[in-house]
Amino acid sequence: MPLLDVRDLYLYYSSAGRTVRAVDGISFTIEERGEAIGVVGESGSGKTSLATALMRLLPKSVSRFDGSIRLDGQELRELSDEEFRRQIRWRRIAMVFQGAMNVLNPVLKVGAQVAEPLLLNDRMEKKAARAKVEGLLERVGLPREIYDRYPHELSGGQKQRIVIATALVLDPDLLILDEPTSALDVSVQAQIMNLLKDLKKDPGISMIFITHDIGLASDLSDKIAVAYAGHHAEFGPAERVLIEPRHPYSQLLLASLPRLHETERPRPMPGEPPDLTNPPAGCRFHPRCPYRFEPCDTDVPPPIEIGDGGHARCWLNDEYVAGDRFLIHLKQEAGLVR
Amino acid sequence: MSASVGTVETDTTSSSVLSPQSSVLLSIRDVEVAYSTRKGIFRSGEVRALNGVSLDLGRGETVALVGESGSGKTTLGRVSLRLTKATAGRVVYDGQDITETPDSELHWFRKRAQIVFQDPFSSLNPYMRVYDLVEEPLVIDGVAGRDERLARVERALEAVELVPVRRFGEKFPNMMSGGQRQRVGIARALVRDPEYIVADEPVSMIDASSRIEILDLLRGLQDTRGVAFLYITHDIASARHFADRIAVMYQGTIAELGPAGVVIDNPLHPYTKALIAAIPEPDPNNRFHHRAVVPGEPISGGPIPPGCPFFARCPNRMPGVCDVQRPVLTEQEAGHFVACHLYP
Repeated sequence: MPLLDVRDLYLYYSSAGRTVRAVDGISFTIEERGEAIGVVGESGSGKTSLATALMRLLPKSVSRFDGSIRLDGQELRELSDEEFRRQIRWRRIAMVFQGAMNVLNPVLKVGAQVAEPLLLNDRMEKKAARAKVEGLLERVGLPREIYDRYPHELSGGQKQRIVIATALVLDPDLLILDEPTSALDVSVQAQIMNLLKDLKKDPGISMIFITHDIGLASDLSDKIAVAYAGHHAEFGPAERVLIEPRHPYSQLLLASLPRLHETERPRPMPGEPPDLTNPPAGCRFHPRCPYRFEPCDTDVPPPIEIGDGGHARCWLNDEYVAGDRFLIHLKQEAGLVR
Repeated sequence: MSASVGTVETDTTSSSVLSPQSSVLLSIRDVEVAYSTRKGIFRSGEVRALNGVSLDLGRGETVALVGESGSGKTTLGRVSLRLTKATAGRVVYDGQDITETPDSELHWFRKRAQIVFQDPFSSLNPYMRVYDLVEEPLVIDGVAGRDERLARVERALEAVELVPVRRFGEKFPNMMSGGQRQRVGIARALVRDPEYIVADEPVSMIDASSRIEILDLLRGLQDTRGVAFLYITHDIASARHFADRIAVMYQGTIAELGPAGVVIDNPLHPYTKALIAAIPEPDPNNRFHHRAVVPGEPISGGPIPPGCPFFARCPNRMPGVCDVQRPVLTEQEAGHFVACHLYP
């Protein structure tokens, strides 16, 4: 049984008569404990809304919240808000929010902030809570003594470690990380990524890693979802998505990245990002796609299965619809056709 | 010796060694920027944003300033534009020393040197149309004649590919994507026909898919108009493709300087090596290995250590040498400089 199985998830926001389809039919699974999924996308692709839906932290403007979210086989959508809060949020699914290191309480010792859920929710004794937190601090690479420090005494990397410890204090199975290193310098980012790699192995925490940086996603992720305008353009093992992407958007995104050790210049992505209140008909990417053909501007491509557990929302992957064009983007990239 | 550094006297860091191939447009020598910090009534401290930086920029050349936050790269950009005054050292632009020139006598310089800001969302007045935003610098310069101004505005908008010009000219900033807004920011700089532009993280706020367009555009301006750029970025991979040379900065100093490809493929300074090793490129094998990291984080504020600013974090540090004496930039191979005691 997969740890997390998300099927046909929808999350729409409405305000002033306009609807934003932030999550528009998304499916993916986390098979095993310690597996990490990277969700890569540009601003407005719906990647943070996916986290919001999984944590059930929904703003009032939500106009549609549908689909199935199964955790260890249990359908979370059937739980009431109160049950979800008591049983799931922070206990089973925890999250590191973007910029969380900047909202630590400045007048509270950092150790006390980490210990708070243990004292308030679990009614743990102070001594036991402190012992547990000190162990956790060591686990995230901090000295025990940091328990009694205040946030302003800590560096950026140390604060981010505190935030990670805070998310882990109730021993969740799944940790959602939303741009956890975006405020950090690259040398410190690498330290945090090394820590996350350790936590995947021991204690075996599964992760959903949300980032705009596909290179950074590859540093942690076993599987990668490429988000575009509320859809997952493609989802699958990191090996396939990074090396043989089945969606032209992923392919062009990878080609647009400046590479450190290649002399070939990055290629600009054609077109403009989509307007999410009025997304294009058919495939959301078709106005920018150099491979578009007859059905793309009218028919929304479904998640077409690839055979490695993943899928791609692109008609080029449907042999019947695409005909001679079947996977032409891969052949062209390989120089087999012009 | 570089002939075109003008009135600057030769000094210990030498002048020719830092020079580009083309003739020198901007010359920065031993610049320091110090801010005093009051720690009490009697005690006062000092923070140095720049601690003895020398750099030449050639006409039509792009030099990338690469470094982490607090490395001084933005301060160096501002000093080069005289938006921040150096507390020591000299800034010479096209042969004229502008270090101490009063602002009232800098009008000629302000027209020739421009800046493109990081944030296209907050740096454009939301109540002004694109036409007016781009025209504004010309009005300030006192360019007479609306026809002349409009003609220049349209040329600038064409140069940044905001076409059709008439359609984009009528728009307000909030009607455009981040990439388009940044083009407006570039057009505002370009409308004065500058020969030097400081681009301070011009694409860091823009979606990945639009970044290359903007960088290609800047590169094109370098080729077609001969504009020289100081490209300030924390993204060393982009610097490889859009700059001629890279200067790696660490805590107010230049740690390494050289041709872009050489610095990245053959880094000499332990900090440059660490910076490059820390960057994850898309590779499914990344997840199976720990990344080599240097411990600690850059220290901001506090007293200036006497030796190498990277000493505390350096994996190759030599106690008794590196913490005692500050390394100076020395040339290791043609045009490739490093400030590190490992390379005498």
